[in-house]
Amino acid sequence: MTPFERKVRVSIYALFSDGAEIVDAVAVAERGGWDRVRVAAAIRSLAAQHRIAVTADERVWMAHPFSGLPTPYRASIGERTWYATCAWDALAILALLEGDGEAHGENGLVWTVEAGKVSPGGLVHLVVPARHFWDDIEFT
Amino acid sequence: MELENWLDRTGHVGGYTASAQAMYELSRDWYSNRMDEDWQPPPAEVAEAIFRRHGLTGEFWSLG
Repeated sequence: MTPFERKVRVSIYALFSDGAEIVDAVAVAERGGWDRVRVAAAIRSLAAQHRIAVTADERVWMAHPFSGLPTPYRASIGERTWYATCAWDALAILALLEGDGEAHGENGLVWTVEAGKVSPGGLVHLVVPARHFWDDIEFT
Repeated sequence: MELENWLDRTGHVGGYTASAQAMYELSRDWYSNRMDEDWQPPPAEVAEAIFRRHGLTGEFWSLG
């Protein structure tokens, strides 16, 4: 990553962390006071490097563990909520933001995280081996 | 039994099952510096060491 790409990447994460609904070149450029075309190029480069994933119209789709699109998986801390890319990432958002809260999955699944303890217990099943995560990140 | 029912229902095969607690604790390590400007994806051997630290071993977690 170039130094500017690093700044753009951090800005993407900051926007998600702050609860931005849409993270794209416009939002990142505005946040950083940068040229939108330059930011768009950085976003494309980050996506090519698998640092993030983008939609066809170059909206940031995934900056793991955040999802830029609605999914069944959410993390919540107090009144704030974020979309996650999967059940693991719903837990991961709570870890990243270092907050007690809830991780929501499909079919009404809810984990509570408090002082580092996940309850109820339960399992996470991963289908795709680690070395193949980015072969088809949407499926993963 | 619930996992087997889920696998039957979804048609997924294989994979890896870990406790939610283990995956949360892995996340604390894995994402600890994700928002730092100098973050880089860890080299394979470092990533595998992180996985091992959390009991995630075997071919599924091999990056080689």
